[in-house]
Amino acid sequence: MCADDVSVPLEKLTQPAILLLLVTNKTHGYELIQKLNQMDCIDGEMEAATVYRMLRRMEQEGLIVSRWEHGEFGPARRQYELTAQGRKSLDDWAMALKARVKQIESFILNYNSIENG
Amino acid sequence: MDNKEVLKILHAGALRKPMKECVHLFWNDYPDVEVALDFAGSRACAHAILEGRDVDVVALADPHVFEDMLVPEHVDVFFVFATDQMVLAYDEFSQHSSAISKDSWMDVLLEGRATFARSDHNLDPCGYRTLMVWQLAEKFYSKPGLFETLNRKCGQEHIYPKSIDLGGALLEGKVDYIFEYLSVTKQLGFKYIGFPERINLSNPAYADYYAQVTVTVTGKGGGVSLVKGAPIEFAVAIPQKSSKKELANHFVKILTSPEGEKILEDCGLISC
Repeated sequence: MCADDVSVPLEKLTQPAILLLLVTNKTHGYELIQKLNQMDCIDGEMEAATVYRMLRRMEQEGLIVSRWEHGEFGPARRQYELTAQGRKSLDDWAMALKARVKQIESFILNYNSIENG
Repeated sequence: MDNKEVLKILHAGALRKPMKECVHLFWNDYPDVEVALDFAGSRACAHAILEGRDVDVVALADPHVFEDMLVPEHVDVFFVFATDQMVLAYDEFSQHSSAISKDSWMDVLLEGRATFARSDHNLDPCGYRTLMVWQLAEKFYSKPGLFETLNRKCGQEHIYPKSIDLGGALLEGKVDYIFEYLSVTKQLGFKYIGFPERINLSNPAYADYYAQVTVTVTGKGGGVSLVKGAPIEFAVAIPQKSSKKELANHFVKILTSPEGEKILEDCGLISC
């Protein structure tokens, strides 16, 4: 077994990653998918269908809101924006992930002390 | 004399089922309004509007068709409301169907007696998207000449006006395999082979990769335009000349509402 065989389940990071992307800018789904696939915290390819469905679910849960945005001519796309509830959810995620980082660091420390005798 | 109001909707063939379902929701609010629902390939729909056809709602299988043919003279704004992906559809009577897989589909189509069909790229986005899938597959699998070989084998007798016609051809056994949208494939209950995301035109993350391929389409008047590869999207608009804007707006609101999204999802489309 090598490091590549061990998969830490990070797929649940998709939701906090979407919240994080929406903190700074209102964004439409098309652009969110492009940005998500460039984020280091996302493991593997994000399917477009998965992201669009997740956006709908997050809107139903009140974490984000959407409205149609367009200029005088051309395409209108649904743009997503973070709600106050979404911002709180992002803060909760960050706290939980920081706690997890401490657990992982503790594990690595113990492992290294055994390895180094 | 019947003085019923009539809402005229023209849409891409691939949207047949969801549009009908949305009309039923529309009738809950406007039971006395007659709805004239007609469909064609998306470029054929746009040609009809250019030739003066009176339409209140137009829903097409590619936002590029709006940009290329209808904006700004006939349409101001179009709403991008759904996405899809390309697949290879077949049924249990298709030749060599027991041997086809994600890895063998090119061999089955090219080496066997199996026949396959696509829609007309000059009339229908599913047609030019099929030609893009073949070009992308040539790159992805490093198979020089794949596009030309597939294009040569898919003769004129296997090119249909619109994507929904391909389903009829497969049902009737006229062809063994069709290059089709996943949504139409699911609606018709066919089996299918899915392609990798770098080929199936589903993922905005690969927009730059898809844009490497192009297809030249010819209009009714003989003019040509170049269509670049892009993620599949569907869009809807209310033409400037619509005389039923309030009713048309209500219909578009239904299509993009949570109820409309559920209909799209049940029909195999992804609401976006």
